[in-house]
Amino acid sequence: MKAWLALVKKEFRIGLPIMLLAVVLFLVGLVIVTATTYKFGYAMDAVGIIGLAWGGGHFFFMAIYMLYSLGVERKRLHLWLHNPMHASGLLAAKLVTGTVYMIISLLIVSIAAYVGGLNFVPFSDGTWFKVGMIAFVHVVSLSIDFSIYVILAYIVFLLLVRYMPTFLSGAVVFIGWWLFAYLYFGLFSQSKFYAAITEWGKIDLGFIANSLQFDISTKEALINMQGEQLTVYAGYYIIELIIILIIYFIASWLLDKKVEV
Amino acid sequence: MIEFKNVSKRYMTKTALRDVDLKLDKGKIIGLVGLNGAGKSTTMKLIAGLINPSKGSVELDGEKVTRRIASKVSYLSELDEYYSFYTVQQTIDFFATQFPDFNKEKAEEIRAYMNLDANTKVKHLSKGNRGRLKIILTLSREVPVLLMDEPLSGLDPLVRDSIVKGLITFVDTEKQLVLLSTHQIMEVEMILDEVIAIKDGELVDHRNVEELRYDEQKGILEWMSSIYE
Repeated sequence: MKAWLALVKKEFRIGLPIMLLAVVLFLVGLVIVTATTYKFGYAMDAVGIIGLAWGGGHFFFMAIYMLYSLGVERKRLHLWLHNPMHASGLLAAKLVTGTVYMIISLLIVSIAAYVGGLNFVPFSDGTWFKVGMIAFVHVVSLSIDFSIYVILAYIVFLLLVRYMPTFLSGAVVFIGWWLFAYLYFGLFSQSKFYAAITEWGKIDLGFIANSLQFDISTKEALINMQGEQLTVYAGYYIIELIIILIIYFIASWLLDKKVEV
Repeated sequence: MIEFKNVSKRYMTKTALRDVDLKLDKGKIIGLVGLNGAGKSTTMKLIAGLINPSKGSVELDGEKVTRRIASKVSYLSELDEYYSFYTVQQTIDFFATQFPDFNKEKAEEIRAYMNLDANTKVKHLSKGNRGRLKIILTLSREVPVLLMDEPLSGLDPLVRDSIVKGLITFVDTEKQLVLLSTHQIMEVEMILDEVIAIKDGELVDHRNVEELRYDEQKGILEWMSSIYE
């Protein structure tokens, strides 16, 4: 455990630029948008909009973080892999640090989304908290979920790059990625079988806004909130968790047994 | 201790190592010599579990070598890449956390011997000092096997001398096996117990240096010349 915690500490140092980049880009965007909308009197609305958009964009945070972090290690695989720790431990250290950084960044963004959003989203405090928590938890978990597919793709890339040029390896992984996405998200997750194994354990979340329509001009800003009575299935989360654990196991196994320095 | 059983390693169409059978025992400093591309680094990486044989098997104390053999093997890569944001001391501390056998007192002793400033950032180290850092990190582990891939490469004579002397001083020749690949034969000849020659991926000879010297009145360089010419 001591070795793993020291690894986590190292990963915090490796991944810091990504967290700083996310926060700095957000702050720069915030300043630009606020400055340009201030004279029209929509500065706070703009802060809310950019907060919501950047918050949603955190879906990609973990994938970008993992690509960066694994890219750093690729230059020194002899160092990273010359370690008695199981590959799942090496990868978990990266996932944990990335998640912590994502939560910090998302909390900063959430403050802007909340403060600005108060102007145009007529929720009670209780609803704000509920919607905010649901959105927060989903962005974090979906981002982690997505990043594990990215880890597997990167490890396959590391395998291929031993046998073919870097560009070709990247191209093969890219094509494979889209093929997998089509088969999994386009066919499998739309199938009756998928519905049968996931649609159980119904949970009623109540009315949840799921989209905002913006109509902004120099004279006025109209924001329409749309939503629906939302229900989710516990089965969906359980099955996705199982699938992602399997993907994580495969990625760890490949890193342990097949990736070469 | 280390045993190669009919080991081959191929990369696509290129064969890096071909049908190698080899046994290495502890308590020896062994030189691995050969021309560039002969298969020296491949041999090292196979023992470190960082690559897998295409054919045959590599065993350490009867256990099949995998990446996690790192608990018994200390590997010095020919590459100089370390975590550049760490200082020398932080790098040593990090290694100490990753390997339970890492002896921090020994590391401090070697660092002082190598005259390497503990507070310098790794990214600011010269090539020679990065070479010294690699030696500190490798020799401070109390493991049965030390693998050193080109530890003297690209370093000036003074650094090379301090590294060779460091090897004599800090390796436990009773308990540890050191496998050392180098082109600087003259500088390590006096500390080698055995020498292995690799040519075009094949193990061409494996000799005891003392026997070579007394039986055939040959130094390693002469012996190499007879093999490679």
